[in-house]
Amino acid sequence: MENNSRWVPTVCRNCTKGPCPVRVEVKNGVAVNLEGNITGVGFDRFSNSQGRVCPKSYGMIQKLYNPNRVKRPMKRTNPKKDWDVDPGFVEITWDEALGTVADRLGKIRATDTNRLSVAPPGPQIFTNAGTWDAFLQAYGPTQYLGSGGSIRCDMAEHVFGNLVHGGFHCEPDPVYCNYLIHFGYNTAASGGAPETVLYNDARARGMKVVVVDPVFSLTAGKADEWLPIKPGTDIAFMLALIHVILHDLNRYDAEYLKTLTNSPYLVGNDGYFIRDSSGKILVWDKGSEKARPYDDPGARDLALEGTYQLGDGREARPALQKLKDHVAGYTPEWAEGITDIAAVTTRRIAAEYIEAARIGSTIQIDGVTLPLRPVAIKLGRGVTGQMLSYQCALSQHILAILVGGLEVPGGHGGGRTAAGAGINTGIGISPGPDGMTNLVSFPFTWPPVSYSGAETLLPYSKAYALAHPRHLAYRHLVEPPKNFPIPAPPEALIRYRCNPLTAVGEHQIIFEALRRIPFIVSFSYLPDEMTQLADIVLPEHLDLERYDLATYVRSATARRFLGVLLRQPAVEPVNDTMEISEILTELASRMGFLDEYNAAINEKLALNGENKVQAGQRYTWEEIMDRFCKSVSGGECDLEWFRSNGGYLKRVPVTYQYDVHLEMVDKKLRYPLPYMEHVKITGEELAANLKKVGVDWWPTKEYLPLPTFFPNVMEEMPEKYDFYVTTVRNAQFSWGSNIECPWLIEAADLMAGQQDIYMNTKAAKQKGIKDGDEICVESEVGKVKRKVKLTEGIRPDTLLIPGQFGQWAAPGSKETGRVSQVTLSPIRHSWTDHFMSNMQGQTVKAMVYKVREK
Amino acid sequence: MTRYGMVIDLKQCVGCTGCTVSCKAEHSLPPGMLWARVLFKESGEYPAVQRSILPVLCNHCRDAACVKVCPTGATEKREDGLVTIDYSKCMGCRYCMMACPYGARHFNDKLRYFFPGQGPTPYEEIGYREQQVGVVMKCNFCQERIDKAAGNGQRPGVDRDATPACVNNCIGKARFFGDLDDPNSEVSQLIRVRNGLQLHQELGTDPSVYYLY
Repeated sequence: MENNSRWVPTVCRNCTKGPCPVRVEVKNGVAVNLEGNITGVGFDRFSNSQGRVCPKSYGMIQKLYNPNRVKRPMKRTNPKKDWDVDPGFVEITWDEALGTVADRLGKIRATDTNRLSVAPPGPQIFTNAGTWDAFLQAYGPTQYLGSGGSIRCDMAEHVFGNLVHGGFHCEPDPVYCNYLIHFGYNTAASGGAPETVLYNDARARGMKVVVVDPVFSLTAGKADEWLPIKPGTDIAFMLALIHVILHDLNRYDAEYLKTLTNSPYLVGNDGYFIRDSSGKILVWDKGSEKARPYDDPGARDLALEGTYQLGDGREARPALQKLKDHVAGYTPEWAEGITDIAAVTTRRIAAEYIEAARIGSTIQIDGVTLPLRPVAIKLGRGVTGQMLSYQCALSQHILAILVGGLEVPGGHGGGRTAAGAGINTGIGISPGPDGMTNLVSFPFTWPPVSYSGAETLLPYSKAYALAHPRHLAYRHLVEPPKNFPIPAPPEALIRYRCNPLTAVGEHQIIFEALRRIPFIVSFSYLPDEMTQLADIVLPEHLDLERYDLATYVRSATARRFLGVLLRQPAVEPVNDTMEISEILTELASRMGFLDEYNAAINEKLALNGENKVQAGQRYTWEEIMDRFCKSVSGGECDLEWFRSNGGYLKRVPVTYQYDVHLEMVDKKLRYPLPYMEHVKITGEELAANLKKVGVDWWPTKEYLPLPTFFPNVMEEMPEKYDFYVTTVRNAQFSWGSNIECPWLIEAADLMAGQQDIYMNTKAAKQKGIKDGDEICVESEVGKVKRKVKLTEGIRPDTLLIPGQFGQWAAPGSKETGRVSQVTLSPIRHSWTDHFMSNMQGQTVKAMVYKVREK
Repeated sequence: MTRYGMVIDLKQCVGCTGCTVSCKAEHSLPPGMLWARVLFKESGEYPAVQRSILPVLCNHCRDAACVKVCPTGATEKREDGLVTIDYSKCMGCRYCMMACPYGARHFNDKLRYFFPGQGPTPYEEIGYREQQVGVVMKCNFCQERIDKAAGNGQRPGVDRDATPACVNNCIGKARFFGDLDDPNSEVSQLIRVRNGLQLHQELGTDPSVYYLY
């Protein structure tokens, strides 16, 4: 460390688990090293990552100096767009580039803003704290194309979490959890520093971890138990767990169910809640042996089980009894035939789960007494990236409430978390009808207003703004669905830090949809696949060249600490790039809506008081950042303060950490669980409305009030596709947009096969395939060829293609020849979860054959 | 006396390879050169399969085979336990690589850059200045941090600036560093309480890296 060396505090936000405070060592103006940072205010005590960083953070340095970066704005000279056609890019000035973009986008704005589509990353908040949103708001309503979200995201947990307990995240509370079941969740690879630190601390103090996954993932390798479940059958295992708890063990948290859920609400044989003449839902009071309104103070001993005859001849059962009857046939023996998990194992896991829940126990934290339920279930993409994700998310939440473990210490949490704008904008819970929390759904919208048609097809997508089947948007643009008038196709597209071509599925569909767009603006770091289709290429500053603020967004894992971290330039821009916020300001100015843009900035960045930007003035990003810093810190810290200190982190009071539970108790609210009558009604209305308009291709059969087994859609494929092909994140690349970084490629290569295809040893032998052979994996929509790595750590009927590679244009990545499971994923209505919007993308079926001997 | 050593808790290591990458950045290691590697080994048969993850690095042995065989005195055992290489004295004979039972030494045969055909990146230009081609390289327990600490009273393993990068940044909290000769140091206590093991104890090299399992 020479004298000319200095450490610059900034932030790594390469994944959804951060932000992580880091500091970058700069020598002679060059970023040379990086490490976790504990030098900011409170960083040493209140940081989830505790001064540590995962490998992804280092990618920021190699990206910065990647000689293959797009170094200046470019324009296309060859109008023909096709797979193998050279765009004929020539470098141009920023003035020409922005002039061209402002001209095209300005013309669209003058006629119909909806003819502009945008393709941002799933959570663009990680790369832009608000100016992107502000620009779009000021521009006017646009259409959304993109990647992430319904394709590669824990969408189901976001939708269901938001819907039921006001939480974007559904996370265990690892600080107190003692027994954790991961379904298709690979935290060791995807947890980054914050989650790994927390989960490792929990494991070190004795938390037992069970991993349910077809693949012996990194997480499974560290777990106490690995259950290699058959892909796509998680729902059967979950239903069997509920069966054992209700029928065999008959142990649950009756007090919690009676007061905080709709378990005592009476349900009629028609499946609707039973109401009195005034519309009040009834419960059965065992004390007076009669039905009473749910909020009748005289009803003191609410029945959870039993069948009751009402005076008017109706037969009624409490919702919990309804659930119990519903799962009667879902025995562990039934599930074994579907999941390959032995019935005896299911019984043991259910018993362990109930035992570990310590029903009735409490804990005192900082003087506040709360229930303690140290058990949780985490659904990863292995579940939420498949069909039946509503059934699984509902089961997960039912398993939580059965032990009284929703939103309490040690249990399943997430309430009041959000993907977050610059500020923590947790959605939280609100009182709804019938004493339950409010459930939000779109009224039937006709005609559809988006390409995906989410607002029409998916009533509950309102629970989470990004919940729309964006993969379907591409298919709809290429093949308009029957009787479904989607909006006019895009005249232009802005692409920003995402790559639909490699991330969504079925390349032909995506490519065709994009190729038809007359004008594409691409914010590009590398001349990658999307850039090949662009008309104007705008190179923007990368993470170590730019300012932004990153808030410690509340998640269940991050519920203890809140704060704000600064991303700041560690070095001068390496190339002739521009800060995206400056680009947006310039475009807004050239298109004549700077005032609207400034107003939107005030809103999106939550600028307050004298920190608001004013109409009629143009501000640099640095000036806006200073106002942002002051606003977010209540006027206490300006940009200069953040530049020196990096930010601040604080511990929040326990009453805030578990405020959803406290609010539920305080307001005498109930979760709309386990019986989701609202879903049943919504599904019936949706079916009727779709029938009315002639849409017969969107099933609504899964809109059921209780979790129900269906076979996964994969089972409908022809028998010749005899292997499941799934995917998993790599610790080096997950979310990092860094797959071309040599440091990370070398590190990933330490684990043989991590950039190849894994196959079970015995299954390979049966096919005459040997370790190192080149194999072809072929689905109905695509095929990939790559070296095979044989392993005992995978089901014999399953192949694993880790990571999300498959780039054919991006330098540094295309040369590796790595492939992607995404290539094999069909984009279909029937392969889309009709409740949650996610596609059946995590696993597909395919055939496998040898191409070449090693 | 002081004898610096490392403890690696195999229960805590998740195999993220953060140590590998942080080491590469810390020491500006050229392509293909990994001082802190992670070995993965699978055993058993489906479904009774196990995965062993073993992070390895130079063991800084008390009785280091590499030191004995170095013909030029480039490899030395320091008083504080570090086994170091003076690149200016190393002639690249690689005898030490033959002698090291742990495969912890690597020969930097020629100048390589991360982006072939495009010259060095700015951080390579700065980092490679201090290195030489044609020498043997290996983990030095972040000697530069320890040496700097000696002058300002910081304690390796306690103060971050004096602690190896891989220890500071390990997200599994699997790595610990400190003075093995101090019975009260964290590393000594961990080794004692959890029966820390050295690799290939039978060879008598007495490594300064211990594993908890």
